[in-house]
Amino acid sequence: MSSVTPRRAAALCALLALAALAPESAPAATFVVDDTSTLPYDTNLPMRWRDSAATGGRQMSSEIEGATVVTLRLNLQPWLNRNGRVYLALPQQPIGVVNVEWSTQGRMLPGKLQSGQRTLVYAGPIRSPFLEDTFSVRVVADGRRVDIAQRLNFQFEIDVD
Amino acid sequence: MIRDVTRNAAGSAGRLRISARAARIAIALAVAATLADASAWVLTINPGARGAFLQVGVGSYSGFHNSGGTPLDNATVNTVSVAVPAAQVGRGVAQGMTSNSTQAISFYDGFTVCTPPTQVYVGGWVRRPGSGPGSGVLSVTSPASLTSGAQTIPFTQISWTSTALGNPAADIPAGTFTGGTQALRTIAANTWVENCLTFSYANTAVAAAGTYTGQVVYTLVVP
Repeated sequence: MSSVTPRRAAALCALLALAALAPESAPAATFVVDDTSTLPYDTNLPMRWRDSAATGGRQMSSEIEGATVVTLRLNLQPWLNRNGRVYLALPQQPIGVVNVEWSTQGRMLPGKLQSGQRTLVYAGPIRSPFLEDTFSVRVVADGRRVDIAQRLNFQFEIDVD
Repeated sequence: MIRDVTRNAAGSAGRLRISARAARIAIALAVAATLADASAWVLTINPGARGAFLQVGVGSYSGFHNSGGTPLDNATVNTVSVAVPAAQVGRGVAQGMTSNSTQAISFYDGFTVCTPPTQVYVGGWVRRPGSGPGSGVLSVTSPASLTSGAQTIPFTQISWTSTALGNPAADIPAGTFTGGTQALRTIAANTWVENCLTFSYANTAVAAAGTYTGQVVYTLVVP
């Protein structure tokens, strides 16, 4: 083990201290947003086979789709008076690619995403503790891979400056 | 290594290390609290419904499939017939049959596929969620004979050809009734199969005058 001088030791300790404090003062960090006030919070979505894709022939679509309306309420209290970017994320799914598309009432951004991705729904200063909007959501999945009910656990994430 | 540093460091450095550890713990608790509070908004998607559709002759659909239409029940049983001139009976000259079907279009998209009454539309599809075996089996069952009182004509006297306008390869093969159940083809999940059948009477059997009738039943079985 190499020897360490007292001055160097002090400097190392100071660096360690700064490193330990770093997460709290990092210029940008991602956090999971509390969305437990969303209504309905757990939606059971009936799915129907999509109309045939325009692929010619007599092939019928193997995709299923469903739609619902949900009032999202995000608790941004921890980041009040900071600038942030809020994303809607959906992890990769065992049933393959799931496509999600939504429109909003204007408080948040409309958009779409594929499972395994995240999409920006809000960017700017956080001036109120809650960010709320009504989403009209449409989900499309491969019906050949959905033989039992599948829970899609969406997540809102925030990047704060 | 950190222990060595502490042992050799000045008192202030030791206090820094302690405060750093405290900060680390505090941050860890804060993150844990955030994760505990936040949980995922959930949408539970359900499998698409199992389903099958079979149409022989005239059928019903709410609109067309490619624009959101869905199947409707139709109890019509169409008739295919031929009147064999007395001079021709049993001479082996095949007699074309005609039907009372009026079904010309496909409910897939409204395209005209058949020319009734000569042709009889036969089509169907299978829907099945999941990745398991999804094919349906289309079959037809015919009785042994057409009957007129006690008189009979073997059902094997009746054959069909198969075609569809705009579809050069027949989905349903041509054939001859066997007087039993015969498989016509499998229908893969999410595929619309359709053809127009043209029936003919072989006319090789000498039969007494009369009206001979029999009914065949088409069946689509989904696993």
